[in-house]
Amino acid sequence: MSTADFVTAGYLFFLFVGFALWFATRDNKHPKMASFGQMLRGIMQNRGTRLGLIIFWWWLGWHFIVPILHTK
Amino acid sequence: MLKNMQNESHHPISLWVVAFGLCSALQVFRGSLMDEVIFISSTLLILLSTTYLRNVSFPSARFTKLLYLEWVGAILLLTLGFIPRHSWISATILLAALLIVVPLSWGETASTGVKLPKRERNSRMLWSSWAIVTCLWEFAANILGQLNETHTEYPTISLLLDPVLNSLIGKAAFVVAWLMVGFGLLRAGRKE
Repeated sequence: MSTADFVTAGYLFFLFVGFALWFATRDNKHPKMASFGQMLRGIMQNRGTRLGLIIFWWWLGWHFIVPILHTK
Repeated sequence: MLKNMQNESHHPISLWVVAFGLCSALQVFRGSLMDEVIFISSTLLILLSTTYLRNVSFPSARFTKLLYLEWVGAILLLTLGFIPRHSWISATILLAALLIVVPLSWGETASTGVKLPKRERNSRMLWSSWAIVTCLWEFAANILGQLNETHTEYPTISLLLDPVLNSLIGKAAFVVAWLMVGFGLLRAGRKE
């Protein structure tokens, strides 16, 4: 396995873990863990979190759609 | 201590200031001027939003409850989905979108002292850990790739997604997914 394969496998692993976490708690019935949506509604009451998440989301769009403007 | 800083005390400084500060440092290392400007100004904006500007409000609920967002989303989908990636038109549309979403997410109150139920705090801890580890993996790939100047040996997410986004279908799919996430974030942040 090359270094590039290892790094790529890491991304896929984190993607799988994220999906598994979402899937395991999606019905919001776990006694100790709120669903992703429930948790998101809770943390979005905080202005800093709202701005942080929405700006990061916007930047992802910028980063992937307008990439040629990124270099000095 | 970190937990107290975020939601359970009246400490006004969000952990997002720290997160964006670290991202700013990475962008300086990358030498990406536009991203440096975006992250440094965002760090300052988030810092100010819960300190000096905490009493400045925007009535976002009345906008996010109405159908305006669906129309804005449809326009963004039709334009960004079909306009070439590397164009100034795309950049202009995205900057316009930024001017819409920042006031909408600013909201009525700064609310730095919200105490979450135990289940939500557990979930927040788990998802935060997942996000931090994923970001560190990406940061490491980025830094190692820059240091030995072989980006293909340490591919970043951008490098892996680039071939997909260069196709019309791939780009349209990305725009749809991106808009759905943004729409969900704005809906999650609105006051019922």
